[in-house]
This record gives sequence, C-alpha cells and structure tokens, in this order.
Amino acid sequence: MEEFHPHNDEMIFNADEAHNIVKECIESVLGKADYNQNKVNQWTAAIVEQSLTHLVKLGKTYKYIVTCAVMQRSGAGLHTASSCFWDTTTDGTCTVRWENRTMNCIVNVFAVAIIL
Amino acid sequence: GSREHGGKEAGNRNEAGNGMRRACPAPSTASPQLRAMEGPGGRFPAAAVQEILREAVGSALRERRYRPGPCREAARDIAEVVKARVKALGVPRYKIVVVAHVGQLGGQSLQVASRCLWDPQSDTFSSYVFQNTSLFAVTNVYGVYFE
Repeated sequence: MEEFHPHNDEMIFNADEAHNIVKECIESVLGKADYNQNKVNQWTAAIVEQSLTHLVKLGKTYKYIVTCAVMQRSGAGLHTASSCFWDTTTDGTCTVRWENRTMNCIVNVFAVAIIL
Repeated sequence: GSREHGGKEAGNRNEAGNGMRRACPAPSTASPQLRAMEGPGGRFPAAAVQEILREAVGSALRERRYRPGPCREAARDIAEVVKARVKALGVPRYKIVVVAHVGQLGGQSLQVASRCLWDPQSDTFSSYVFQNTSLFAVTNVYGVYFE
C-alpha cells in the first residue's frame, strides 16, 4: 500500500479533466451503437464503471458519485437538475451531454473531498 | 417489464486499501408503481429523506402535464427544495447531493444508473420514482459522510 499525502489547500476538483475522461468512456461504450433495450442496462453500468475507474486513477482523495441516464431519442423531453450541499472550495461536479442518432446520454460526476 | 429493486449492494471491493468500497445501487427505471429505494447505513435518516422526496416531488408534479419550460423549472426546484429540506434535518458531518430527472412520457425507454466510490458504512442514497399520465421523475439523494 502506498502512502499518499494530499495537500488539502491545493485540492480543487478539475472539471475539465473529469469531462474528458467521461466523454471518452461514453464514446467507447455507445459510440457506434444504436439504442437497444436489451443492452442499455449493461451500457449504463459500463459507462459508470469505466468513468469511476479512470477517476480513481487520478489518485485524488475524493469520494465519487457518477450518474448516467441513457434515453432513446423519440422527441420526448428530459430535464436533469442537481443541487449540492458541500464544501465549494474542494468539491465539484461536471456534466457531460452526449448524443448520437438514436439516443441521448447525460453523465453527472460529483466529487466530494475526503479530509485526511 | 418491471424490475425488482432491492436496494441491495453488489460487488463491494476494496479500493486502494483505505477502506473505500464500491457501492452499486440498482438502476432505477420509471415504472407504473411508485418505487422507493434505499442504500445501507450510517447515521443518515433514510425514512425522513423518503418523506421529503415523496412530498417535494409530489407537490411539484402531481397535477402537471409535461411542458418543456415548466418541467425544466420543476427539475431545478425539486433538486433545490429536496437539498434544502434534507440539509434542514441537520444531520451532522454529511454532505448532500441531489439529482432530479424530469421527462416526458413518450413511450421511449430511459435507464438511469449510478455508481459510487465511497464508504458503504457511512454513505448512502435514497431514490424515488414518480409517474403520472404525462411525465415521470427520478430523483436520487446521496449522503456522503466527511470526517
């Protein structure tokens, strides 16, 4: 086990970095696919799982919550909102919206700092 | 078809040996019945949070028909109100995240999944699904303990 000593005064959530990570995960899971009712369960699980794995690899002392919604494109509307009570200096969020011809995907990442 | 939600955690694994585990809440899908799901543990008052969700989502959406502008506002209002009320419960040392999805019932399929890297002894979530003839809402509240 490695010793890890974060500097808490330097801990700021890097939303751009998270955005790129998540976008790549979505692309790799959904990129070429058409909406498929039988697969959507494993897709959302894969997107969330991969995003979490890559975020953890950043090695920062955060707890993460990753939410993914995949919806078939049928002209119906979907709105997503979030509200958080946390430490705004260290904690952060990013949202990635993605779509292709047959489906929409929204992923939210919430990073909550752990004080060691 | 409807899926069984047990709020059960699957696949807890040790991450980085510091007591963090992955919790995998079951995915929620909009369904004909009102579904309530909860995760394990900690000192987070699950029953009170459920009541807050039921009340806030119900009063925001019960008689509403789907319209884009008002439903966008409703999603925002629900997230804000739920956060404020959960915060008002005054549970010490918990950070709160609320995510609300409000959508039109158009015969399309929607899958919402979330996964968390946290401490399942203290961290938890609550989920609530609402549906009327014209719209649906999926709302999740996550409570994260901090030292």
